[in-house]
Amino acid sequence: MFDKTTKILVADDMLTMRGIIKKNLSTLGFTSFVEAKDGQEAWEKLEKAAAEGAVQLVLSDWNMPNMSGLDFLKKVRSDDRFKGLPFLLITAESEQSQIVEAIKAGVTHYIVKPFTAETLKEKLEAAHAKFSGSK
Amino acid sequence: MQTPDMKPKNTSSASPEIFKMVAKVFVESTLYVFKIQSNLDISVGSISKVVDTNPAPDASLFAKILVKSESGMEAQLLLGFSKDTFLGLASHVLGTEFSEITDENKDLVTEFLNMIYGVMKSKLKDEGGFAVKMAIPEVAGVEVLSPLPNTTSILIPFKLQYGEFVGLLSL
Repeated sequence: MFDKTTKILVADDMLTMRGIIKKNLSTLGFTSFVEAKDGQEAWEKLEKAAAEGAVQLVLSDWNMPNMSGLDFLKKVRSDDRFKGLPFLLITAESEQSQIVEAIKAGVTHYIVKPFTAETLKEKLEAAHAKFSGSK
Repeated sequence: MQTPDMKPKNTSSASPEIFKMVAKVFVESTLYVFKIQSNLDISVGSISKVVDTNPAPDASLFAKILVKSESGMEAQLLLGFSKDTFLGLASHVLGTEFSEITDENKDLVTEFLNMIYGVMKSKLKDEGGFAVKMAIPEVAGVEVLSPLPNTTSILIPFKLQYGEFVGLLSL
């Protein structure tokens, strides 16, 4: 599992959804968060954090204005600095075509809303295992 | 208080069978989303058809979403919360004690409706073969429940430990 001090970037255009995600992450013991309201802001904060010491995990909504979670993911994966960054997409959609698109773009794992803290924990463990295995 | 636009509508483009299925999916999806995301017990009360004699529910915060099927059928989903029920739910779900509806918490209703819509889309496709287009939920800046014109509408009361809230389905 990720260390509890892991700095996590939470991107969602809905303030309350960011709150729900952070509350669930806090339940799991995590304490360090960076927030963004869309993919563009998330990208800017990710780049800034890269210079300062790094975001180590991204949880991003799919449907966001300005830059979607999928476009944000593609931007992240096209940058050598972030190719190994664990990236989880969160969405209310569970269509197979979307999941395939996200996998092709390099998503680490995929979370469908609604979700429990337990589901989030399982996805984080799976993402960590995948990330560790790819090192 | 009566809501002036809650008049009987019998002009639904949906057959009774389809209406029944969509209503069932709406109720099931709402129960599922609240149970999973809030980890609260939730129950559903007696469903009633919207007519102009309905007393207006005690609700002050709304979110609604318009849904279109690929066949052109339109529906509206709406959730309405009283202040007390909403503040209890928001405090529980967000882990912060709220005493007022603010910009910090009010989009929670929209987020829940968005999740309900996502679950409904999957269920309608799996159970009824319906493909529905994407739609963005919006917070309705209204103080009355407004059914979609020229549709049949039903009012569904739900109960949480913090109080009741209502769902309105127009189809």
